[in-house]
This record gives sequence, structure tokens and C-alpha cells, in this order.
Amino acid sequence: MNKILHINISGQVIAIEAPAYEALQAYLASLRRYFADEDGCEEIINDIEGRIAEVLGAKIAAGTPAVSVADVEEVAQAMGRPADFAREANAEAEGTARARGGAEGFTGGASTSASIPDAPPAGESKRMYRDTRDRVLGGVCSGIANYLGVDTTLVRALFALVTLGGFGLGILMYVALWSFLPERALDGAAVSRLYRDPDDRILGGVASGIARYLNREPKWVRMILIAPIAINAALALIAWVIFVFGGDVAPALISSSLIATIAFAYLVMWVVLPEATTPYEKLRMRGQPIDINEIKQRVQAGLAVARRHFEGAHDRLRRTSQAWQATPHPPHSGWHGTPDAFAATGGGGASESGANANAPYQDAEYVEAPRPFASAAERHPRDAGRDAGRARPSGLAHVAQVMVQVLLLAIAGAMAFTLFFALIALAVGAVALWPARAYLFSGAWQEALTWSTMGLFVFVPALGIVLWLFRRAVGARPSAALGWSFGGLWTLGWASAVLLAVSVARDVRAYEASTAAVAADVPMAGDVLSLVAKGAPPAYKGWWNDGEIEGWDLDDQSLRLAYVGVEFRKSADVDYHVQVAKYAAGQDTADAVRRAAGADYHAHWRGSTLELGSAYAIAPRDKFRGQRVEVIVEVPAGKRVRVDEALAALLAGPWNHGGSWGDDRELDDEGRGVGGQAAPRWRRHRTLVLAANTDYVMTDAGVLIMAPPPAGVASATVDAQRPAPQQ
Amino acid sequence: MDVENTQSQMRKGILEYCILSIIRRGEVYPTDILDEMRRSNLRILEGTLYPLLTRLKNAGMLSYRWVESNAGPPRKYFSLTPQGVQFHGSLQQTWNELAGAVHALTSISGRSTAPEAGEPS
Repeated sequence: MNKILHINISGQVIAIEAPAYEALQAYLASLRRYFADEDGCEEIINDIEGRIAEVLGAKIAAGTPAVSVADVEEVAQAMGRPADFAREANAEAEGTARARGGAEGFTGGASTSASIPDAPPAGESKRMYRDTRDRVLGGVCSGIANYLGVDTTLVRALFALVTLGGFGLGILMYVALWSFLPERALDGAAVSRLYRDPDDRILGGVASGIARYLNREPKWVRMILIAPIAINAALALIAWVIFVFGGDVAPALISSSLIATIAFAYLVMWVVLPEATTPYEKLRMRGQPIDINEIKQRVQAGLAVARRHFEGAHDRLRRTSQAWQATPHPPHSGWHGTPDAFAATGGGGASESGANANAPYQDAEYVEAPRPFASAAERHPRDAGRDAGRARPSGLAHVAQVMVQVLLLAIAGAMAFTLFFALIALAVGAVALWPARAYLFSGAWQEALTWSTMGLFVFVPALGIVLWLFRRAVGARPSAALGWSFGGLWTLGWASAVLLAVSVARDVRAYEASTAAVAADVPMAGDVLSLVAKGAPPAYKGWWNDGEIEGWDLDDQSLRLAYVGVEFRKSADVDYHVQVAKYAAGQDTADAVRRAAGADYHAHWRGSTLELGSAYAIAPRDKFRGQRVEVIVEVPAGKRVRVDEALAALLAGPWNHGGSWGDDRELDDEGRGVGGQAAPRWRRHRTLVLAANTDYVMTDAGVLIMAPPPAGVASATVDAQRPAPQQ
Repeated sequence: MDVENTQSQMRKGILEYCILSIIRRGEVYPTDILDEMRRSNLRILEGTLYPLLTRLKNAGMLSYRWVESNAGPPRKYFSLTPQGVQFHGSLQQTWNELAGAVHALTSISGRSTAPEAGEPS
């Protein structure tokens, strides 16, 4: 299937295939450039166009339905390209100035004028120049490419890589070359084949463009690009597994800098390589000989897009055309390129090419070109749009735009990555702490909300992003339905997350203590109160960890926590007093107090021994609500206390330190949250770390300081007073 | 490469004279000129011819008129101006001198030394 355009060359209407049209335009553009400085440039171009019109018209008359790329090539070959002209009319030396025009000055010898841009004289060794015709900045790269006969884009990419990766070394080289190389308007002999492929892109089409250039499959290039990341991930996984199972040695991450290099090079290439947008460019990119069958396939792909462009710009072009007709031109009669005249021929033209044209394009689209055909003022609308989009001179804007794109993409990627692993962590955690369910949720609603939040809020976006990447990789069209459904689910997830947060916040609004005094079974005697721990601290052994996690344990009946603290205060009177304050969070004061009271803690005071449990037990109905136990021991001034090893270990246990429940706020003297405040007051653990079996004496100031054990007496007292009755 | 350079210079030297000679014989349009030059084995590219014609016209050696054509776009028919005729005459004189000198130097008798016929590669 072919797309046929009807163009107006020097008053003659010609049917031409779309890629051939592009090729013709390129040829004429090169001629225009070549003669740009020539006096009478327009006239020359007009004459050449007339000649082309003649030749092509003859072909059409001979039976060709539409001019093809091969025909255009033939014409360009026969009429010569700018490089050929330059060779025919070269100057003996550069810069030979010969007067041009003017009767006297016109020597008629060398038919060269200094104004014609020319190739270096044949016979001299080719010098390197800066190309003024094909420049992004100074034309240095294209000049080098021209000299070496390599792809211009390739030279640019290498320069960019050297510059950005070599601490700006490339800038120095570039500026040096810029100043040293002479300018010359070269004819772009360096054929550029290196493009980005917009049809086969995951990110920017860089990999597929490179692959096409090297005549390889894109997937290999992609695999090479991804390889370091994959290696890194694999090694990390292995290291983690080894670590989990107790090993010490892990394979080192050897490829992280390689990842950075590759990512950076990719970004540079994305910026430097142009996109192959037109079928002609795409063919050049693939390095195939221009073949009609290939073009047919390519053009088919671009039909719909071009149509939109045409319809939009058609009006604009007509206006331009009408304005252009005011310019004086050689008189034409009978071959006006007006729409009416065309319609008469266009219908015929369409039916001729109807066999080849697409059915929807019965009324063959034409571009009404103001005469002369390919003047600079008039542009194929698609070209105008394309060139504007690819405005080379504003390279910096393009660079900035692409960098922003890549940055956003990187952020999105990082977010997706994080979400994905958050999901995995949550999943693992959930499975591990499955037995803790009974102690967490204050109701079925909350449990449901938690599951829905995890599923919709965390799992859905992670899955969505993974799926999106996968679909892009295999080239599936972006599906609006998928996007909407994932988005909708994620919105539900947000709602669920918010509800869950509200519910949890409500559950812990109050943080209160339930305090009870502990009375001595046997009256206290002596000056030393010994605190001993009963039982060992609980420890949890799960399926995933090696040893035991100390500090808590849970089963169906109870959750045991070892967050026990002991606080020593100065007694108001001369007696020891003991209080046990159990803290808990709750929806309100009453609820908090209830939950606190529900904690079961053993504190038994007998004589001069205070036996404290190593843990407190929470029943499932009370839930885990940040319960804590504080034992408040009031010591008269001058009297002593001591703790045994077990209790010292308990108090010093790692679970008891490190700022437990949250921020450190001010507490009133009793250590309770000031009444009436909505926010719970988490108590920062401030238990002193006491040495075992050492006497501490309470000073008048209310501070406990270490005291040397009184020789003999206290030890005996202690020993005598340590029956440690079992309960 | 050196040979080609010199050959190119030789061709370049007589190009204008040949073209002016063709036009002198009668009103022609560029395609005619091209055809005739090809027939005579002195090929020239359009891209060389058109600028040359334009330059000559701008210098006042040529003039043209438009002729409508049924079989294609309108054509420019070139003819020599009196100034051009005079110019051509000077060139003819120069050429005769040159030809004579070259003949004498290279001892090739009879035929005019037609430059190398060949397409620019």
C-alpha cells in the first residue's frame, strides 16, 4: 500500500510516492543550500525545478503511475548532486576570490565564484573543516565526520560521552577544534544512519537504534544494557540468602559503577541521537537499500499520523499559498496549481493511482504548493512540524527536556522499586507475625482494613508498575482499561489506608496507667531492699530466625513482654513503698486504664525482698497497646536498694533501651500523662542501668548513688533475707 | 586525483565557449543545450549548466523569453545579446589561438582536440 501525493512543480502536477517526495525535497534542499550564496539563486533553482518537472513529467507520460524513490534517485544522479558540481567547478585553491557577475569582472575563465561552497579541490588531500551546513553548535562534529567518512551522529555521541564522562575534557577539545578548524559549507557527505528508533522503544529507543545501526537484534543490545543490573540484583539476593542462613561471606557487588556508566551513556545517547520519524529516515536507519516493498510497509505504518498532520496544516498552507501568489513569477497559463484546476486533474490522478492508493484516501491528498515548488518559505506541513520539533539549533532545550524526562522516569522507577520491596517486606512480616493477629486488631473492621490497605495500597501499585514495564518490554499497547482499573484500585487503597490510619489513631488516643500499690506480706526490715527477678525474660523463636528474639513471646493465651522498668524515688516518709504502674494506650482514658489493668504482672514484696516478674502478660482481649510496666520504689533517704543479676539483666536488656515508644515528652511528677490531653504520652524509658549485687543509697536530693556495701552486715542481712518464695 | 583536477580544469575552460556557441546558432532552451552537448560527447550536469546560464544572463550576455509548452512546464529560450555576440567573438578568437598553439605543440594534425569525453565521476 502506497501513499501518493500530488505536487506542483513549476506548474506541473505530478503524482509522487511519499518517500520519493521526501527524497526529492532533500535533493532540492541540498541544491538550495549549495546555491544559496550564488547570485540569482532563486532563478537557478527555478530552472532546475523546471528541468526536474520536465523529466518527471516525461516519466509519468511514459506510463509510471507515480514517481518513485528510484526515479528521484535517477534524476538526482543524472542532474548531479552538489558534490558533483563542486568537483566539476572546483577552485584551484581555497578562497580564490573571483569577481562574479558584472560585465567587466566576469572573466569567463574558471566558472567558479568564491561564493559557491565547494568541496576541497580534488587532488589535494582532504582537509578537516567545520561544516557550517550541518551544525548543532559549531559544526565541529559533522566536519570531523565528513573528513573521516563516518556517521555524524556517531561522532556527536562520542564527543558527548567524552565531554560528560571525562570531566569536561570534550569541551576543551571541542573549543580548540572550533577555533582551529576553518569553516566550510560542506555538503553533508557523511551519511547519518544512527538514529533512535521510535517504533521499538522501551524508554527512548536508544537500544533499538543502536541495534539497527549494527544490524543486530535490539534484544541483544538491551540484554547487554540490563546485564549489570541483573548481575547486581542476583548477587544481592545471594548475599542476603547467605546472610540469613548465618554465613558471613557474601559475594561483593562488582557491577554497581558499571550500572551508573551504562545509565549515563544511555542518557547521553538519548539526547544526542535524533529520532527516525519519517519512513525515509527509518529506512536509512536500518541500512537497507531503498526498496519499494520496504517503503510500502513503512509508509503504511505512518498513514494515519500523516493524515492528521495534513488536515491540520492544510488550511495554513493554503493561506500561505495565496499570499505567495502575489509574488511576481513567470507567466503561466493552463497549468495553474489552483485547487480548481487540480480538482479536475486530481480526480483523474487519484483514479490512476487508485489502484495503489489506500481506499480511505480516494480523494488523493495533495499538497498545494505555492510556486515555485520547493522554496524556503513553503514547507510541507509535516516537515515544518517535524523540524520544529527537532529544532537542532536549540539543542540545549532538547537536552533539558530529555533530562527532565529521564529524571521523572528514574523517580518513578525508584518509587516502584521501593513499593515492590515494601510489599515483600510486609508480606514476610505478615506471615511471620501471623500469630500476633489476635493481639493487634481491635475489631474485625480494623483487620479487614489492614488487609485491604496492604493489598490495594501497596500491592496494587507495585504490581501495576511491574506489569507496565513488562508490557512495554514486549511492546504491548498501553491499555487504558488496565491503567484505569489499577488507578481505581489504588485510589481505593488510599481510602483504605486513610481509614486504617484513622482507626489506629483512634485506638491509641489515650495513654494511661493503672496504678496499684504493692503491700509487703512481711514487714520490711533492714536498710536494704533487694529486688530480684522471677523467671527468665521471654524470648520468641520463629521459623525464620536462628536464635531467639528476646524481650517478648506470644502464644494463643497471652503475649508476654519484658518492657519492665524500675524507678526509684525518694520516699516521703521513712518507709519503703512500692507501686506498680501499668501503662497502656486506648481509645479513651477508661479504655486505656482497662487495658492497662488487664496486664498481669507479678510483684511480690516480702520482707526485704521485692520479687518482680520478668515479664507481664497481656491477654488477647486486651490487645497489644503499648503496654508497659513501671515499678516505682520509694526509698527513704539514706536507705539502700540492690538488684540481683537477673533483674539487672532484665533492666539492661536491649529491648528496654533505645527510646521505646516514640517522642520524648514532658511528664508530670508521677510519670503520667497530663490529664485532659488527647495525645498519648509515650514514656521514654529512663531506667538507670544498675550494677548487680551492688548497694545503692538514696540521697536526700532524691538521687540514687552507688554505695560500697557495708562490710559484713548487709551481706548477711541480704543473705538471710533471700528466701525467694516461689509462687 | 591530480589528473582529474587538470582534466576538470581543461573542461572548465572551454565550457562557456561551447555553450555560447550553441546558443549563438539559435534560440535554445537548457534541455536542448544539454542534449546537444551530450551528443557531442561533452557532457555537463544540469547543476553546472543552470548557474552558468544564470551568471551569463546576469552579466548581460544572454537574454531569454518564456515559451509556454503543452507537454510540460514553460521553458526559457535563451539567445545571445549583442554584448554576448561580441563576447563570444572574443572567446572564439582566443580559442582559435589556443587550438593553433596546442596543435603546434603537440603535433596532432587535423582534428580539433576535443577534451576528454566522460562523465564527471
